[in-house]
Amino acid sequence: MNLADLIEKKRFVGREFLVWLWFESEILEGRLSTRGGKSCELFLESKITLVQEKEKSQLDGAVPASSPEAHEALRQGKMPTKAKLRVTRGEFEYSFVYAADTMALSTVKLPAVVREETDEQFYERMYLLEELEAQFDALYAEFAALRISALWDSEIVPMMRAWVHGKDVDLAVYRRTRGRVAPLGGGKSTHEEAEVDTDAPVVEARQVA
Amino acid sequence: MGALKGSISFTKFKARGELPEGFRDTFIERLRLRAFRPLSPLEDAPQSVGWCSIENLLDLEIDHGKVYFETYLNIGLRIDTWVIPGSLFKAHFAEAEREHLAKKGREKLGRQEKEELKAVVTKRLRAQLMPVSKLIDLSWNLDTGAVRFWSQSARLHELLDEIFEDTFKLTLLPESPYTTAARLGLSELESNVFAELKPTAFHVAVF
Repeated sequence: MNLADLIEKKRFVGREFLVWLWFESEILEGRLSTRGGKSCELFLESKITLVQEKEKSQLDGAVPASSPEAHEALRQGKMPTKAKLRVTRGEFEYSFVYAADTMALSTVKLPAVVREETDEQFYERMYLLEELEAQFDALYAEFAALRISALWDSEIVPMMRAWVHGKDVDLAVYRRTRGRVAPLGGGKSTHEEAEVDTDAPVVEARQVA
Repeated sequence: MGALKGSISFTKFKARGELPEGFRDTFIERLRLRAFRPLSPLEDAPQSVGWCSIENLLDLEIDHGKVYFETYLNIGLRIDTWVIPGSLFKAHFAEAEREHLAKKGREKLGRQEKEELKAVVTKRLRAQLMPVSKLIDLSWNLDTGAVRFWSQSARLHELLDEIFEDTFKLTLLPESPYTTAARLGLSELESNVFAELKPTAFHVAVF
């Protein structure tokens, strides 16, 4: 499969990442952890769009992702394509709309920018934005490693299906399972980016499917 | 809305390829070569695309001070397009057609004549109108290669692809679930596994 196909044909993974964020946010009461010291609070809020082929559900409200309608949409096989997220890391709070297929962020609200000079304001905006992206990268590194591991189908998906159907999830078992898979890049700072198409070292203890 | 102030909505790309030696000067020269050139009603081109200062779309004098913000290259992509409202064009064309037929003493225009008259009317109307201008910010972190483009339109991404490669001799790789995973570190084996992934059915009630 060439690169263009990998980009186009694997866009569904972005939707699964959004389901996973939703799942973790609900079962872990918003407290998401990543290796490499990057942990945050993450909540889905005010807007979520779910689709299945041509059928679309757009839910608005205070916390629509927690509504029975949103879970019912998941049970019908709909997948989220867009959601408004709130991420808090230390004293920084962000809100933004995440588009799952392109992994694009829009209407990003940054923590208050205090500088007034144009140049200074730009550096501060970029710093805050790159911090958010690094956080999001760290979460995606955790998810993607799980997604390509043998544990995804055997352990993680059954727990996520239970959550979709309103059943209890054993948190201790989930945490233990998640901890068995090292994140992509070993949880290193995402500012140190690997080049696409190069062979990064195989992460220790990652068992691929 | 943009990199310097206002709402933040962008699409992220990664610039692929090595930065050439002395790239700061080279890039300024190349940006000047592809700087925005205003549309002329006397020319046929329906659109003009080129670089301008990120702070002012009227500022077409590109220099180091306006472009480099420490490790960032910030530039505006200006796109001007002639937009003639359909009803206005139709009315002016009908008038021109009547005049032309009366002058020639005929009842109907030939296909070739019709096309020529359309071009004449278009030029006449363009001379009375201002093109629609759009400025889209681009901010490129030269250390990490991350390029943020303040638009989520696929059509504008195509325009960007073309002018970015033409200007900088580097290609843009869009952020996507696969490219993000690869950027974060996929081994060859993991990349192959990723390529074989099939959608998960979360709704299936099997516990």
